[in-house]
Amino acid sequence: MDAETAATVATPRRATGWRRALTDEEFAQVLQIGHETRQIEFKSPGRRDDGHAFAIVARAMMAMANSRGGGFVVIGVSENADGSPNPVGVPDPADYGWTDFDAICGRLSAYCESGISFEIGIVRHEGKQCVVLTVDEFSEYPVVCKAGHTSQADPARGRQGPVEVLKAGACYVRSRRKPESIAVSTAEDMRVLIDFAAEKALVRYAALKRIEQAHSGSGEPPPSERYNRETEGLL
Amino acid sequence: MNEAVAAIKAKGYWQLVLRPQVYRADRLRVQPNATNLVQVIASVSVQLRGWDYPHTNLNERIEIEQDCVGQTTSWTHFHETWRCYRSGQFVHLAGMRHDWGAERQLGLTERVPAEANILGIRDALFRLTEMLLFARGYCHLLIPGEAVDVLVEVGGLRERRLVVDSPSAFGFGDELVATTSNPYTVSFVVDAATTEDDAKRMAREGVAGLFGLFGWSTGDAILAGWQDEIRRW
Repeated sequence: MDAETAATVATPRRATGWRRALTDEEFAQVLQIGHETRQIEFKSPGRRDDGHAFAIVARAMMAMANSRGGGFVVIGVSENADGSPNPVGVPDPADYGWTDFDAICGRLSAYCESGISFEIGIVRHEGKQCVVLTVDEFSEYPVVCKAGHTSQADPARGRQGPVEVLKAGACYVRSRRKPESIAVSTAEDMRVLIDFAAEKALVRYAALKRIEQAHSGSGEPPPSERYNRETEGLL
Repeated sequence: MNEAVAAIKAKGYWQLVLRPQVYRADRLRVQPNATNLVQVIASVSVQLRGWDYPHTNLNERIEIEQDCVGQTTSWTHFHETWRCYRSGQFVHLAGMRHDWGAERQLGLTERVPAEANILGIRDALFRLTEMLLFARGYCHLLIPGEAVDVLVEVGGLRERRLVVDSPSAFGFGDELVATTSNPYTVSFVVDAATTEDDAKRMAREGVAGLFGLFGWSTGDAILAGWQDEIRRW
């Protein structure tokens, strides 16, 4: 796959009204790229009720929501020793708890200050099923993490000590240096996020302005003019 | 222009205009409840120094128009008029009391010619505080749950001298004289969430801008301290 094709696959279209999961073919192409991208993050096949597994998925979803165009969190892809993706799949997505939208929302709400818009999909690759969470960019304000999560040591899974996965008050984004979900820690990441939120605010302002103009087009003068008329004889 | 208003505006004046942000022509009933409306205004008037703001008196004539109710007072150095409109708009205009002969109580070192027009720093802080506290009370009682624009205008500033108006304090060492021919204007928004402290803070912001036209500034903490002493002045 050439770089242009890879970029096309790896970069979802703007999320304005866009809600679809990856197709099997696209997923296969993403795997061919050989690594995560700014808008696709792979996660090992953990269960929804596993605190550590859910926290790292929540972090990825928050980061995608804070990224222009949103992105995909693919559950069921482990990492080979050389860092390449290994689509081991989720044995039973329903049993693992990743097909229950309401339940995922419920757990997300414990970590996210505001809601995240997403959809659940399933992709298949060589007989394995992976869960794809298609996350929309935030609609009004960036998503802020409101509760921390520290996973305890689990040597069997490679965690030799406690790991802070989520930090209350953090704003997670997709790093501009390499494809990973991190808390905003650089001026550049903060500037990009602020610019993005400012654009959203401008769109809201423009919409309100249109409503105001439509109202003023009803033939009624603006309030200030009507108030001025009242006091014409006085002042 | 109304005759009383013309007389007031010929000298230094304080003007307050309150306007609900959403215009509704028939927000208040002004007829046949004129007396009631005056009583309502009286219930939210502010009395920090003996004379109420705005001044209401049911024993005086109530001016009733088709779309508003009001009163006009011309008594010793008190010259003022107010109107409350069906839309909820409220207008109050008052002459600067020293321009109408109120006794000057100046700081120990103030040397001000008798013919010079003055603006006392405490008088100004008093007046802005009265305006904003009244605006808050008016909004909460008559325009509940909505936002109201508060428009303040202070006119007749040119050649006016800023003075310390407390005989127990010193005076300004320099002559602080305004040169602007334009009125000073400042606006705020009050709503259901505006607290008394918010109103006082707005008053301090407003008076600080006014003092700036005289080339004088002081810290917000000092103004706040004076506000706290208001009832003891």
